Amino acid sequence: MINEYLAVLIFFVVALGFTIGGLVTAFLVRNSKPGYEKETTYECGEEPVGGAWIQFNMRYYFFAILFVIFDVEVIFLFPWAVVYKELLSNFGIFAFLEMALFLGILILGLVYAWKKGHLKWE
Amino acid sequence: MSNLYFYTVIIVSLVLFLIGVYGVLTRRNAIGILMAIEIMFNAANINLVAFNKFMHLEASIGIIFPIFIITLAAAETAVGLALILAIYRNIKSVNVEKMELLKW
Amino acid sequence: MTKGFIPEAIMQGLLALTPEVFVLCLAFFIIIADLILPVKSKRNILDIAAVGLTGALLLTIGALFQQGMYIFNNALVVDSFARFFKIIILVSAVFMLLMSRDYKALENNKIGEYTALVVLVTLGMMLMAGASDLLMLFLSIEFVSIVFFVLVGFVKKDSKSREAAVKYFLIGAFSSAVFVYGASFLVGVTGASSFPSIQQYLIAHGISNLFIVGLLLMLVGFGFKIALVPFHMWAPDAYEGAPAPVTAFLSVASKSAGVAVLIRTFLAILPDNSNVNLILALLAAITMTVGNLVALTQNNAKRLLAYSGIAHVGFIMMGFVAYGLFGVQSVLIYTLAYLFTNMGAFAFVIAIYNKTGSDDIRDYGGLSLVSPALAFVFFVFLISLAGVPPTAGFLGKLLVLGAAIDSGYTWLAVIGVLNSVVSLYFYARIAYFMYFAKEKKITEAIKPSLSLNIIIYSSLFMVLYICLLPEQFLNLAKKTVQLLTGSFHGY
Repeated sequence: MINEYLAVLIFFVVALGFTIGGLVTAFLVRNSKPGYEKETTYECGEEPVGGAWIQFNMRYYFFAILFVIFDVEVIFLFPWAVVYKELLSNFGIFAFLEMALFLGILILGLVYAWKKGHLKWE
Repeated sequence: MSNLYFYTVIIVSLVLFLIGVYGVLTRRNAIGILMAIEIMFNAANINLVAFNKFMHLEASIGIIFPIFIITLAAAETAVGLALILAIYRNIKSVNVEKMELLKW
Repeated sequence: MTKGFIPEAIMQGLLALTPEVFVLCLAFFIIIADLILPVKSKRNILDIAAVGLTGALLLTIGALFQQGMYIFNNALVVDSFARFFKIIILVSAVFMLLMSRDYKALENNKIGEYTALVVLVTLGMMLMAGASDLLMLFLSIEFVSIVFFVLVGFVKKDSKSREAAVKYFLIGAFSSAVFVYGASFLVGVTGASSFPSIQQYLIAHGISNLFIVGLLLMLVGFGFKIALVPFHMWAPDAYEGAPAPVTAFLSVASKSAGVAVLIRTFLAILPDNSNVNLILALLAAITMTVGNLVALTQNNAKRLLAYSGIAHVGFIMMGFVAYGLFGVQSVLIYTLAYLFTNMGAFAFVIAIYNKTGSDDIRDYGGLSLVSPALAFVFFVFLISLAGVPPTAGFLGKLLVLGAAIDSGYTWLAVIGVLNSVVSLYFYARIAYFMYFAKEKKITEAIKPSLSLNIIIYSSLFMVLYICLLPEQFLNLAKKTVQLLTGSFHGY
């Protein structure tokens, strides 16, 4: 058992050495000229606006909640998908309909939020 | 060997649970309390998964149960955050000691 | 397995759950109606829901004495005991919707959402009454709790309502976390989650200490649901802050559903309850005493009824501690009496609130002068809450005390009687303000709307009827307990 993990340990040490080695080498070789442009946050080349510690718009909250609901629903889809073939041979098409019903209920919730105007950005 | 491992897992879950209880009792920030409660839910999850691994449970209930707990914890948090947000608009604070309209 | 469109086992379960399926469809119908109907006609949604739930009520009553059975792999049990509590839940849901019809704080454009939540929470409580699997139990309790968090904080303008909701939520989430941690031990020790399997294991292997620890942790969750004393802190705040119809609903339906699962769990899991009975008895005694003593100083009517509700839970627990056929019977009668008495009292609180905008009992002065008949009816509800004959509350208390003495808990019965005497004081205090207060705050006659009148007079009828002709109700309770699925070991 120890031997099995030895490979992982060696891998870990090599990975660590490679990272630190790279950084140290770069630090030794490069010349240092810090400036305003260089110190700003790098985010896909976009110019950053303001700090990160601002209050976000309340609107994000609704989207976050809706996202969480649909995100967590997937947790039920996974076990169902894993045994789907077995279910299909035992229960026939009902196995599919059951999940469709579950998703239908969730979609009804989405439609409700939509109709009530919570998805609009005002 | 595996028995020792089992007890380690159970003790970890117990410690998590106690951390959660401590957090609920000492925190003054409603969001902090919510996070402590989440830790408690996860303690139960770890417990169940450990039982499922080391004992022989009927129909893998130890795996199925946590799935439902995770989902419900998410739903509960969604509702809870909405409520905390609603009260934040009123009293401009999420400190539970400031919620003193109702007592005795 | 059959190859039919819907598997036979599931079909059988759905048929046994016809009322629940009906309520679920009603909820979806209401959500869709809320999306389609214009704002002006949204008040009608309340009526639709009330009619629908009455239909479900009739379905349940019709099937009351059908043979009980386990369905969905022992996840749910459908028997007379569950149906009895479903009837109580449905009756209070219908009453609650009638009360909401002219509750002023509800805005027109929120009615659809509100009604859908009420119908869904009714469904959750019906499932709670029949849960016979730890997973199902947890799911249904959480379902009910989460929806009630929203309902308690429903009146957005009212910061009391919001505060109550946050407090209710924090305590509720905490206790359900403790509950599920306890349940995980039960699952781990016995290796199963359905009550029949757990009981089989316990009969074969005996009860271990870890099991008792798990069960006591679960008791925290139950205690929260029914507001047992160490876990009751949320109740007064939530009751005062919530919209009055929700308070009535919370105090009757949610509590009876909690009592149902508590009794069901203990009866169906434990071969005998000697291990935990003393703890339950102590909790019952503390609950009664604290509820009654704190109620003495309350001036807000909703808050007073909250503490009186806590005291009533103490009495219900007393019947439960007595165990056995007679004990459970007394609990059923007590819950039935509590349903009608409390609903009637809350209908009055709402009628007066609609008139004066105040929940303070000191503002009830002059009620007896302007509408003497109503004041007298309110007085009847009050003495029923206190347990004075000839009212249903008296019969309930009598049976519960009898059951406690019968099974050797004389000390508990003595505490119960002393508590009844204490409780007389604060109920009489409301009556005092109504009849003898010098300041006459209410100067015009109070005319409750039609729906409130229906609640008040049907409750009055039942309160008197249960006490004066108790025989058929006793028979009903007896038959219900005899048909209880799951077994009484040693009784």
